[in-house]
Amino acid sequence: MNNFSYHRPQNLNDALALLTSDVRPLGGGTDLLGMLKDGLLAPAALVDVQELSELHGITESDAGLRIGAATPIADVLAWPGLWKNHSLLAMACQVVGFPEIRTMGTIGGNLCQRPRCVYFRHPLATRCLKRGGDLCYPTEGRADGLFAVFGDSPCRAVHPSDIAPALVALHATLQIAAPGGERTVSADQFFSAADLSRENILRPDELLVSIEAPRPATGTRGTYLKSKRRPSHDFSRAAVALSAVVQDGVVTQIDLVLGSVALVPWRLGAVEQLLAGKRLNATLVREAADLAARDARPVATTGPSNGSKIALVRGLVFKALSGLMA
Amino acid sequence: MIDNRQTITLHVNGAAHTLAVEPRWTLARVLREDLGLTGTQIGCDRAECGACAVHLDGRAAYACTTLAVQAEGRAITTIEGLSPAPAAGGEMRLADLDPLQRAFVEHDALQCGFCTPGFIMSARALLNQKPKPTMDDIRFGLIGNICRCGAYPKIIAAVLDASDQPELARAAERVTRHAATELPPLEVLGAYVPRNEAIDKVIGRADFVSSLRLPGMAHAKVLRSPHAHARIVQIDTSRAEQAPGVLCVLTHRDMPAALWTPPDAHILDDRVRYIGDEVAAVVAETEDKAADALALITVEYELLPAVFDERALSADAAPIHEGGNTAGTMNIARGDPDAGFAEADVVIEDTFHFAPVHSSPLQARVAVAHWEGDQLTVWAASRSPFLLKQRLSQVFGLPREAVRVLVNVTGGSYGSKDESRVTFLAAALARKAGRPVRLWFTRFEEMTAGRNRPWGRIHIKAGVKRDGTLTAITSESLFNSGAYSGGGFSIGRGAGAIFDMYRCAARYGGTMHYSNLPPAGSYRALNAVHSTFAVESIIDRLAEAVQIDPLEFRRKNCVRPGDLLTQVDGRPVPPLPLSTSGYEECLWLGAEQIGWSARNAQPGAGSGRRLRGIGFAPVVYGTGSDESDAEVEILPDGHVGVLSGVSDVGVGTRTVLAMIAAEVLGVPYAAVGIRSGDTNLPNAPMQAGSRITFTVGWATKLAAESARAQLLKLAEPLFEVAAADLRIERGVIKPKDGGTGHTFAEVFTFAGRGTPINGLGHSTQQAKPAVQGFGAHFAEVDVDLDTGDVRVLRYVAAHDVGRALNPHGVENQIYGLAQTLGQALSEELVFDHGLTLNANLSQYLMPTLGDFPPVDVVMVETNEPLGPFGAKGIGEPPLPPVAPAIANAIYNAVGVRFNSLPIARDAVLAALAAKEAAR
Repeated sequence: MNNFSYHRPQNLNDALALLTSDVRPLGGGTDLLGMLKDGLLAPAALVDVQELSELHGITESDAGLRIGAATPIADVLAWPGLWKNHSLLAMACQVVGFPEIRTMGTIGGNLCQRPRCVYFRHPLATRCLKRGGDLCYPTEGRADGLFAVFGDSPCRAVHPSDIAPALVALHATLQIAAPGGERTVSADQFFSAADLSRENILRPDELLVSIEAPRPATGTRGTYLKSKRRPSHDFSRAAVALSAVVQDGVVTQIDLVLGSVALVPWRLGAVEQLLAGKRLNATLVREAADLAARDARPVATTGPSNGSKIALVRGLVFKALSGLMA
Repeated sequence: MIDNRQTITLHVNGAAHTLAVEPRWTLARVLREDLGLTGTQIGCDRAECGACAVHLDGRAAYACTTLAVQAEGRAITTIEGLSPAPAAGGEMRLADLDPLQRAFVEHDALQCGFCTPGFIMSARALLNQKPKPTMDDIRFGLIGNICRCGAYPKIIAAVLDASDQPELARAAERVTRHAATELPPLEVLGAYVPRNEAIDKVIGRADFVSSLRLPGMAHAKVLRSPHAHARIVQIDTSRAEQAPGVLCVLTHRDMPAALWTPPDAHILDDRVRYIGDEVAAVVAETEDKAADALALITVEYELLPAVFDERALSADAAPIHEGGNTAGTMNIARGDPDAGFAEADVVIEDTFHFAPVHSSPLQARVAVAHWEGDQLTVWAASRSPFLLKQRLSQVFGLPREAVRVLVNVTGGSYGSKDESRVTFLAAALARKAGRPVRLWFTRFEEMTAGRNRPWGRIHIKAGVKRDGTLTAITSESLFNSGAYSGGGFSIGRGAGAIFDMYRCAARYGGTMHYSNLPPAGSYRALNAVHSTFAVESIIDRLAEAVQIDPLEFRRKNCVRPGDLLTQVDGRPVPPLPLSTSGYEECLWLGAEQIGWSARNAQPGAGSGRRLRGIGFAPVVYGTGSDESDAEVEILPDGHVGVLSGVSDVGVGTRTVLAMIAAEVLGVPYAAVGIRSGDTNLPNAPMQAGSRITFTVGWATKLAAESARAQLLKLAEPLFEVAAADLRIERGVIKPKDGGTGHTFAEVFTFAGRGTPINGLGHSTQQAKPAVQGFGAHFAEVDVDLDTGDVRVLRYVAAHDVGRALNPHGVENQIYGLAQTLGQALSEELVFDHGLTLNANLSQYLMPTLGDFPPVDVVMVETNEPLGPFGAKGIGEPPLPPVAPAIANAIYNAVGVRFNSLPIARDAVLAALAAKEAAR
């Protein structure tokens, strides 16, 4: 770990004034400190956000929740009524890491965490595209399990967040503080890999302040399914966030977003269209699951492939949609 | 380099500490190095294992991934603050501890103890939030802490007990004991006792080498090769030597070209043979400064061709070692296997593949070395103090008596921590620096430069007659040893799964080769793990082919007491009759426990999207023999002590030796002290081969018997009766026919003796290798057809343990099956072009508490006459049958056979999809 300096500003303006491309905001540190220890980043300074009141706490109105970006995930989970009114968000938060990670880690940090790609994270894999190099290693090496099956980025890493696909499915918005003022973007817009160096639109001099998650309409059913390589905890092999309203067996509203299949959360627009307005039955669910996997492509590699992830996408979507019929 | 120390005030355990810290220092580092609170352990340094759990404002958080500067202003509680500190010089009493700490002691919810403080802190946070947790609360709430020893059922029981739910606690541990023969009564042995050093481990005061602080101690870091195979043309260390805080830099130029046993590994060499090989090392005042200086060393390499697989054996492959790339071969046979195949009605053969795995003890390899003139003292986390002593004296050209090795409490070994590079480096660095030096590997180093299990493939061919008689089994294997093979030529152990289990003709051959990958070495149960998976997968298929129940098939063909064993562990031995076997009891009792008769008659016949199945696999594993000394002393004040140089890596050796001495001397267990882990104490074999209770235990029994005879002789004048007519009952000597009793101290006083009685014991047991530990494992699994997820729902581990002298210890050894549970389903060290891609605990997936199924332990007691008080080895037998039992259960569930480990979710899903497509 390089020897950076440490700042703990007392207000948002002071914090913004400190942020440059050579400075990183520090929340729970569960991701950032690992990257520093592995020598993947060597910032001149860290800006600790723990005393910025705008980034902390939860408020709820009929419209929905406002969650400060530096709020620990455990605090989100402890919010009264979360499971009743925001079950999809609750389910996604519940499967993030393990209790201590949820206590230390913040919701904003979860959204802004970097890919867990084993090459990106390897101190010696310096040719990695995301680290400014010229090679996406899995295309010449091992592409098993954890790599992308959607998207056209030359980088085949995936976004590891559980909360991100849920927020995309929920049409959440994110408030960003920038030197020139504040801006609000949809979760869909937020996660767009503008260039290889990042997985969201946040610029180095900006700070994610809060997340607004609208309260789903009464009768909305939320499901978050995460497949892991061992039962207890893991970054997901793939995950599916589903928010839907089914009335008298007919799908009247549906949002279906995959996690850990692309560099950003991956909305299955074609499947949503297929299902909207249709009466659910086993054949339709099977058709929808097949459609979900239709455009998935394994990493083109000379080594072991991640082809089974396509079957996993199909299986998870099938499972989630089958749940709507129960 | 900037000196940017900041002065902060930390509130730790109610006290304020003001100190100057670098912002990059983690809270764990500051607690340990600056505040001396070494109960907070560092296992992974990445918030992935939980060994460093503390409380921040009452909630559990990981101190390795919290900066000290971040923690300013928050209330920090460490394990040392959980219960009041003992008075200066005073002993901590059980009654003074937090109920959780007490419950961990009473349930023996630990082995090596390295994860224990973290586990207790996480569990305390859980209980603060939920005073009466359910079993599920615990199974979901304590998944952030890894216990590599696998003491999970006891941890769950301890947490339930501490939350005042004794009935649930009892249900968490399901153990039955079955006497296969008449068992003579025992006073001390066989009872559940707290382990010897348990209190130190639960209060965070166990003396791990990694926590040792010597005056003037400096810290070392190693520069490692970025190339898989290269010659070092030039190293420039001048800038590093000038860096602040640096004491010295060591390179191959400083090293004698001395080779050490086995003859294929230099301490530092001008050649590097894998990515991660040692190139140079720096000693500095702090670890950070040593690490900073590594970046200032420039190395010019001449790249050599690298080879990562069996192509290393081709004629044109670049030699990795002078003698070529074959690390070893073996070939043994019994009877005529070819004739056996000729008379078989069914012959099945197949090839089985194994990914590399790593034992990865939570305490990474660590040593502290200190020279006083030509006297070298080394403190090492090791299983083999006497072997280290011998090698250190050899390498540094010292007389044996000039070297002393102390093995403090060791944070896990699992058959590793015997090869010695870390120890040699520390000693060489300490000599050059002129200061005591600590070298402690990071997790990344542990999982690359520490040793993995040799890996590769096995081809099995087996034949059977229609009546179910096995006619022959042959096995041919090829294993990759990586760049070195220190202690790792372990092919032989796999022979036991054939020769020591079945009566048929057999042939067993294997080759181990070098490559430019991280080195392999010894890991618990060696390649009996691979061999048992391959053999028992094939046997399962043979049983199915001739339509005989798999249990009956095994029973019909297994060895029986009196059968002559002609080889053990792949080494020929003079024919010896198998001593005892509780194998059949294991089969039937285990089958009953799992509900064998209710399993799917037709594999894959269930309906729905999740299918269940039950599988089984057996094990046989030899109890090792070796020479051992031991001493038992009785002090004039009546105290009894056991003295043994043996290293207790967490398996409970100290406890069982004290119990044996107590049994012989007729004193309570708690009255016996023990000193161990020091080469100045009596010689003992290394912690290997499931043999320590068997060998050191036997020597301790002899030593205690000698001490007892001397004591009773000394007591003759006091009682005015012959020693033969005296007995000892709970520490009091009495005439057998009644009368006044006297304590040991009174005997010494009456005799006017002011010097201790010393009983010496020496056991050879060289003629006793026919002691075999048998077992039978049963698994019930559930397979999700949509995701490939495999869950182990229930597990039964039945073992012939000879006699369970220390039942807590036996059960904990059996729970060590967690390690091959990981190897079966999720653990794989991933290499690519020589890089180790997942040398960390977030991508190398060891079972956590939430992955460990409910395990029924069945202890079959056969009272082995060749072992002390009937004991057999139980260290390794629990590991080999896990993967085949699970694989056979998966087959029973979904009708698909898996020939590769791990049976990872992706592989399961791919196979299910292929099966679906073929339909």
